[in-house]
Amino acid sequence: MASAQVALATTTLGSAASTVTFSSIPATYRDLRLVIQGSLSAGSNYFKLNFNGDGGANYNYVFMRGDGTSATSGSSSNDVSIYQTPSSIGSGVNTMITADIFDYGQTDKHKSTLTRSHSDGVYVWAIAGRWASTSAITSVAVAAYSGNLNSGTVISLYGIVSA
Amino acid sequence: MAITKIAEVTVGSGGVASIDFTSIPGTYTDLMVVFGIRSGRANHSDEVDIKFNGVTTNLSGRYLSGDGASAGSGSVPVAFAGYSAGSTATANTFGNGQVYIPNYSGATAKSFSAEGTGENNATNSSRLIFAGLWNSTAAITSLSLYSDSANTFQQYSTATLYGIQKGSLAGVTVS
Repeated sequence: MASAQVALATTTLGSAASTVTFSSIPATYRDLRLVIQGSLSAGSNYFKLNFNGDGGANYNYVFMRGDGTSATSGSSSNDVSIYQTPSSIGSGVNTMITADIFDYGQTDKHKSTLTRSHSDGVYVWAIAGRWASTSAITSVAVAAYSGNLNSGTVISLYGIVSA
Repeated sequence: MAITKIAEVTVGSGGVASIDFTSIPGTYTDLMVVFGIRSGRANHSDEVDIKFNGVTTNLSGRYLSGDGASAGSGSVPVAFAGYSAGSTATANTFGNGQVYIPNYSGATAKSFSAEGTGENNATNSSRLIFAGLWNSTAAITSLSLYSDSANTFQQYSTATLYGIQKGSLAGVTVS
């Protein structure tokens, strides 16, 4: 392969949690990859992503979505998170998310993300996101919009090394 | 290193009906299959399907695809892995794709994602994202790529199986 993927941290939730945060991420890799498999509690509806504890309106994303019948597209500007499942999903629906975060350690550019995600039997998405900050990313938070990430949810963070 | 190459297959002359990976150990966290395939189907492309443990039941999924003119979505009772080039596609082109299977040895239903493209230096090229589910609690110990139209995979088609292992690096914390 042209790049190497290094395991940085993994958690399997033993009980429901509203947020999982990866902290003290070193700037020694080119990109980050986040892999999530799990589900949300009732009323949570969306998986979302934030960086460096920033909950301000500094996130933008555009997505395309398939629901098994038709394809649609949408976007959100000046949002408070990048939604990784930008459509409401039911509680307990098994969901898989792979998000790449590019040039996360650079201080001369906004941070771009590309996500492929799906919730079984509901939607499949492709999402392009941007965090409007030139700060190096040192922490990544995965959260439910409201409610919790369910017990058993597995979240792994990898560093990608350039060739 | 978190990615380990488990096995690689290159199809020889005469082609094969499927590419099979067997005796997959349960020692990794996730699996990933990367392929480049050309099939004998008399068309610009063919559909590449995947099955686990030799089983083609309890499979379902939704796709999102585009062909340069329109986008569509649908539900299917099979597992797409992506597209291959067909025999009428531009010479020397192979359809490329990747399948990612998290928690493949866990005792839960197996979700997986796939994405790929049917290469063709002309019209009728396409791009696919697929969300799949194998509704089985069995650990995955083998997987196969095969042509949905029952055509053979042609010489020089390749597929590589990787194991992805979770781990931790000193300094990074999770809470």
